[in-house]
Amino acid sequence: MDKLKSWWSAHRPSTRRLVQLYTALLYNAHLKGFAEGEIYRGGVKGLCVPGLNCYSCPAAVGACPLGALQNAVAASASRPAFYVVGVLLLFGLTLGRVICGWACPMGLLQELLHKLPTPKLKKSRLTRALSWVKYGLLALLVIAVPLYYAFRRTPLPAFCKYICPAGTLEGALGLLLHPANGDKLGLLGPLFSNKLIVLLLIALACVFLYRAFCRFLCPLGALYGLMTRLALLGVKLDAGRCTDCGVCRAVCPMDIRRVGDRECISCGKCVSRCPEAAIRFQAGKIVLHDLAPGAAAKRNTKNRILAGALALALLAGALVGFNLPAASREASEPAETASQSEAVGNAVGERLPDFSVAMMDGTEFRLSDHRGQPVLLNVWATWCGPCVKELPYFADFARAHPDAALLALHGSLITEDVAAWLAGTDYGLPFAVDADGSLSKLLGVGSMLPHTLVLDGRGVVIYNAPGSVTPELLEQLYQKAK
Amino acid sequence: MSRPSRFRRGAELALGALTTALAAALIWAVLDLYLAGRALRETDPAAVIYSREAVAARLPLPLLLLGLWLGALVLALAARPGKRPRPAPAQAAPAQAKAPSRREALLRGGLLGLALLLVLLGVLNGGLRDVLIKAANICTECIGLG
Repeated sequence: MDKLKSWWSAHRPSTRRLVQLYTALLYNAHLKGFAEGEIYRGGVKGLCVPGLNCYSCPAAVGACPLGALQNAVAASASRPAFYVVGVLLLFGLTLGRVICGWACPMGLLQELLHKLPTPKLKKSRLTRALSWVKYGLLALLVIAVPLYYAFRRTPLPAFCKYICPAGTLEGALGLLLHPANGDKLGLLGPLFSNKLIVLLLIALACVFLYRAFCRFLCPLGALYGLMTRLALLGVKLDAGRCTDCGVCRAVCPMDIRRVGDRECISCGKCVSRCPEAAIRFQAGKIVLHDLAPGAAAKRNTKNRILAGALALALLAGALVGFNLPAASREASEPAETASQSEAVGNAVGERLPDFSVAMMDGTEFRLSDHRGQPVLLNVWATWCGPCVKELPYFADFARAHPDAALLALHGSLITEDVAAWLAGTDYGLPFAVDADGSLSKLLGVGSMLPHTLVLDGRGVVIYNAPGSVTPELLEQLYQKAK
Repeated sequence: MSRPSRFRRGAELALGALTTALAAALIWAVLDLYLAGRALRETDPAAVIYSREAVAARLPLPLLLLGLWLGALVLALAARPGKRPRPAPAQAAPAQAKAPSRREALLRGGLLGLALLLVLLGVLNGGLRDVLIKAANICTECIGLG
């Protein structure tokens, strides 16, 4: 029993580790998403979580603040990014980089990788210099590039697209690992290869270097770092007591110059090492991690139990609430009686049911009017970068193949006036808006955009897949549909 | 250097080398897959680069390295000295929390007020709905799917 007690006292997880695990689970409480291979799409997802956690992860229940910021910057030509900027200011001024040290799932993963017993690279002048890279990435990939493309009407969240390891790990791999998403393997190309290699390199660096991504590359940490001096919560240094002995800098695994600066993630490693007791965890005027024994310690224990109970109740509520089985769906509509030999549906090989939709130019598109012609249906949205990027391919295709019918359908999730958005363009495509989402449902469009369907002359689906298309693929599908 | 610590050092070095080799093998497999797939796509634009067969064909080397890596991990963990709780060094008596300066408190209060105002304006101008729409849908390029 004594042996067990001694083992436990040596190995029990620190409070910080427990909080990291807790927040990772709370951000990703929709665990059934992994079993279903689908993301959570409820209303709570509009709320940003403080840490870096991809909102395309099947388990994510909140929005990633970095992804939301890039998308807000990308849409800033039509709507000022008040909400996301306000939320980031709020997080930065209250929690600062405590978020990085305590409430970031990517931080937790990096620390676990660094626990692998391998030789480690120590911090140095080089790592201190490299810690500036994340500020460059913040300015360039999170602000400048999305802003530049915003004025070219092409949303481009550049950090998400080219670097973010959370997106590759939680979003892409999280979705692809589910057998139901096996058809998405066809989407993978150079972009996925690049991002997978970036992820592998970052993971490798984290084994040898403490929090390599957080220290050198994370723009969210850079953003919070800019506000950390003003943050309410965090490790604070009493300059009057400090003798500048350097113990705090020596025990700190980050590239700090002094406790509480922009690189300090308030992990608290230095608090108990300071011989002058000049470092404390503070929330405003309240000391949270006082080392004083006796009454204060007892009070802290009581508070800890109370806080722990509340936190557990919140987590249990989230886990139950987000994982309850969905209410039984409406009985599927009886399949249209097939007058021809093909089954009716939206899967490849099935005949798509007839539909009609009002076009933006006032005419009507009825599918049955185009029997005998190849039909291309493209589902897009103004806020979706790859969708906007491929519109010219469809425009070129329409000019080259006047015998094919084409419909560019804006999905039901509308963030701006589509007509006004299109007024500044000259695609010359037949556009329609699926205002209530019923047509997207009929076409089998899920949560992924862009989405393209190609039908042959009999109305049979020969291609129905999300993801970007190339002019070559469109040509090949056209030849197949003819 | 004592014998156990030499053994530990060796096991850690081996694990470090195998970690690097495993990452290199995986990166090589990704590059090889992509290059082979790109050649395929030149003739067939609808060709699947990451087909299950193509992935499986490139797995033996990474799997072999993974096996060796796990062996080295077990050795390195076994060679680690037992963890003992480290006693905290002697410290001076803790001081009371120092209140932030008036200027700092004012600045923080003003910025917090501004943040709340921005959030409110964002909710009113549809910014919250925009975030929800983008979070509840998957932009395939944004997560690297393509």
